Amino acid sequence: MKRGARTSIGDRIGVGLVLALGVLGLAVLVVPSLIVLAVSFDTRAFVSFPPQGFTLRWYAALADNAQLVRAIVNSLWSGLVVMVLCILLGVPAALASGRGRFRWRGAVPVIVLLPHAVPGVVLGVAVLFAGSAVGLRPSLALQSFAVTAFILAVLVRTVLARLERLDPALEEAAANLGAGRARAFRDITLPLLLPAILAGAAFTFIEGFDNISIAIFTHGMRNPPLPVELLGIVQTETTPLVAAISGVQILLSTLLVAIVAATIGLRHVSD
Amino acid sequence: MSTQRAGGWASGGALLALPSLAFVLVVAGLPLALLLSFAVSDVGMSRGAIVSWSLTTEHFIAAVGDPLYHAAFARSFTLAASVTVLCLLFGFPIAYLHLRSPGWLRTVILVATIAPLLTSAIVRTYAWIVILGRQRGLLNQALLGLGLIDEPLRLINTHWAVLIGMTQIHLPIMVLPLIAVMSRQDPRLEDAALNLGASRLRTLRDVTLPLAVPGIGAGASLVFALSYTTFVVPQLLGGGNYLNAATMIYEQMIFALDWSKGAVTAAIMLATCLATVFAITMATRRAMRWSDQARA
Amino acid sequence: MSGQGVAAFLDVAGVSKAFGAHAALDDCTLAVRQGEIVTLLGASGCGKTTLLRIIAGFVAPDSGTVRLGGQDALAMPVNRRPIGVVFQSYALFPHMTVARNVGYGLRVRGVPREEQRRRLAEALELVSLTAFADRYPAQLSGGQQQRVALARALVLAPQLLLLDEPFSALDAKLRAAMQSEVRRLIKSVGITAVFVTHDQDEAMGISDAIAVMRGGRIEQAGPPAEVYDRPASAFVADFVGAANHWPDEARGGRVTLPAGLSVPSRVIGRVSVMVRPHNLEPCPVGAEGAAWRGRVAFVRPSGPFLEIEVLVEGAPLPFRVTVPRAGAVPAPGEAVALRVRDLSACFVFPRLDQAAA
Repeated sequence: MKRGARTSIGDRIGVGLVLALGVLGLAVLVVPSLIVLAVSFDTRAFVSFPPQGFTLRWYAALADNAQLVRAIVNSLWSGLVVMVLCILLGVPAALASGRGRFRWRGAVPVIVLLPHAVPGVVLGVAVLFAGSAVGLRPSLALQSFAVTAFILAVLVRTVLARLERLDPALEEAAANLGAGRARAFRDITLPLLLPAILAGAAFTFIEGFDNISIAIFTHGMRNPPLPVELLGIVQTETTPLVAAISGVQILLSTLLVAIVAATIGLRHVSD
Repeated sequence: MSTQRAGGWASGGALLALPSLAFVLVVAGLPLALLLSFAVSDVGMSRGAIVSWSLTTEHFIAAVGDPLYHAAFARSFTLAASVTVLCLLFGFPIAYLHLRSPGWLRTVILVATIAPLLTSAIVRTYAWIVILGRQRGLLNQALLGLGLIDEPLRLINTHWAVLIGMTQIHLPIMVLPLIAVMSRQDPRLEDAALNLGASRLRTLRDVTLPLAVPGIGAGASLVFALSYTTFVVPQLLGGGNYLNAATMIYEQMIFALDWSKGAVTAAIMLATCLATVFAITMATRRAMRWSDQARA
Repeated sequence: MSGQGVAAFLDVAGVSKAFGAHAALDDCTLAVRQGEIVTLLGASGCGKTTLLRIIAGFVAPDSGTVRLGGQDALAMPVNRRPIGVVFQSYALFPHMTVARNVGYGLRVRGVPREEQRRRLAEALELVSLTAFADRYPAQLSGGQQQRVALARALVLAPQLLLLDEPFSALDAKLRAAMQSEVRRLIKSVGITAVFVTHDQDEAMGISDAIAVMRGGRIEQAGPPAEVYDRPASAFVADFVGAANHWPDEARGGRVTLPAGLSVPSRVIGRVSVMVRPHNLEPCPVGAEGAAWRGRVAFVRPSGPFLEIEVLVEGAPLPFRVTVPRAGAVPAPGEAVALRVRDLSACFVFPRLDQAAA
């Protein structure tokens, strides 16, 4: 019987097949983005492959498209509001759940995580109903609030996971050395939670910027966010303009992930 | 030793949780309750405002008996189930590749997995329009160029296009929990299996795969829930007549402005989605009876 | 521990604490004199860490009092108690350098800059870590981390030092070295210290007094030699060192061993006679005064001694015998008799119920 790394041919073929599937899967993940990226530099006014020439005119056209620029600004606002609300609501919630001493503290994450288990479409419809029941028309604010309720769970979960891995003796040590609660939080707990808060904040910002399933029902008619605008454009526009929008997003997101990978590490994210 | 946790420093702490709980209750809890009540009501609408509201099961019963509903939900369900299986088929090998890779390659795999998640689903779906498009699509041009076909194939606006697009878009959501669970596994377990005479493939089947069950369960729940309820990919790759539960809600709410019907569809979607996710969770627990977590 | 009439510096009286239905501490009383090193010794779950945490102020007792230098310690907020703690995990702040860790308490207290600098330098000097001031905890070895933890506590000149299993994270060799170094350090500063440990060797090696805890109570307290030589219970006898058990019956205040030797007993009925391994010596079968006969199971070296395991006829468990390495040593398989060196150093305790044992 063969042992260790030396294995039979059949075995190698089997494992090779599994690994080949993995490579194929990775290709399926990556290649379409590369194709779109290539198309975005095409000089022709229609989408075709292989692209001909090289131009940045479609990227320039983005900046000239007032409708798109406004949608991007709307989405940036939404992302910002969602992120700030999530930090303000989520960090205290995680602290209450992870360090609190009250009877029902275990229920806090459960309740906060519930909206995240609801399909975005359903939550969007529900918020639209509730808004109109109290006279709130769909708006950028309503959209941001709804997305916040949805994505708050991610920040709470990220921060709570970090908090639970934090040695409680650190806070005791700070107290023992003379620090009051506020001081210990400022000097010890907060700096050690910061990577998790930042990772969570990044994700909530992106959801606020990018959400479509909730936003489609709750956004303001006069100021649609980028995804809602895109949904229409993708179905009508035939020039590489859309590819340029995609190109911007693909480059930005890859850059962001690469930065996170090089600095705080991707563990915070993949956990 | 079981002693009281440091808890103390962040005070009793209940007050810290109140804002988030109140927010979630007002922005999600009450609206969802309202939605469920709308599903058994007749809601009169005028210009985006509710003008009348009366309880009736009429819309609900009509929907439950409507073949269109059956078709839409059946399609959503089979589509989501197929996407989940496909994501698993590609996702597990990716996670396994990650597990067996050196450090730098692991980072590359993680970046390739996470970066798409930060890109809009619409943008990622658009890539498939470029690839599968009928007239100038990459695939059709390639096939025509190679002389394999004479006429462009109808690739986009098909069920297959939706299936492929959805699988690609949800693949990272399957891969991430798998990677998280599998990289926590003790690598010596695989060594032990090899040492006991198992082949690599056998080790993969008998040790690595069963231990990845929590990740499979988590990934499958997420992928199912998302692909069961998305309208972006069906809308863009399925063509105008492609109807699933989510596009039906979209239709009813945005175009038909029929809020009662929309509420019924959304309520059924919520119930069926949660029920399936619950079933997946239960199946996962059964498959990992050996774990303490499953018993807890 | 304080003798009668001497005022205790740390005075824990009647302290109880329950977590839910579990009584972690049950009417615990402990007195520590100024400058003394006392160890709370016990198995995990005996309440020793809870007692330490109550003294430190991390946990409030359900009842009882804790006085430090004559003042009510329970009335002081946790961050105002003049008590230093060295945590089991050391709890060094990972995002602060050695200097910032050690100086943290000084900064929090608003000690003037100049004095901060001086005391920090002294503290680093004390633990020989001056050269490591700018390192982060993760860049230090276990022993160095422990010295940082010690310096961080001592720099505030506390009246009392608490150490929670401070050596448990170190490997065996380093542990022995650190034990004597920490004891020397504490004695040189002259601070009163309370250790918590489950390791009897550590307790013996470092303390002026040991308090053996069990089930939330202090079962016996006293100097190490006293606890070892005159254990108050079978539990203490077993916990503070190896002991051989001989089941027997006590009648009329005595237990009669096989060779007609007799040991005084305060209890009657089913008893267990306990003999320390070094209180036994092997001798030829049939020798005068030999209490037991048996067969050598195996012999293993243990430092300058040899440890012999003997399967004694009539004993449920093999006996352990420690002899100096010099001289004739019985070989495995050989029949031997065992003689008690000092009959007065045998202890007799009621036998634990068979079912419960």
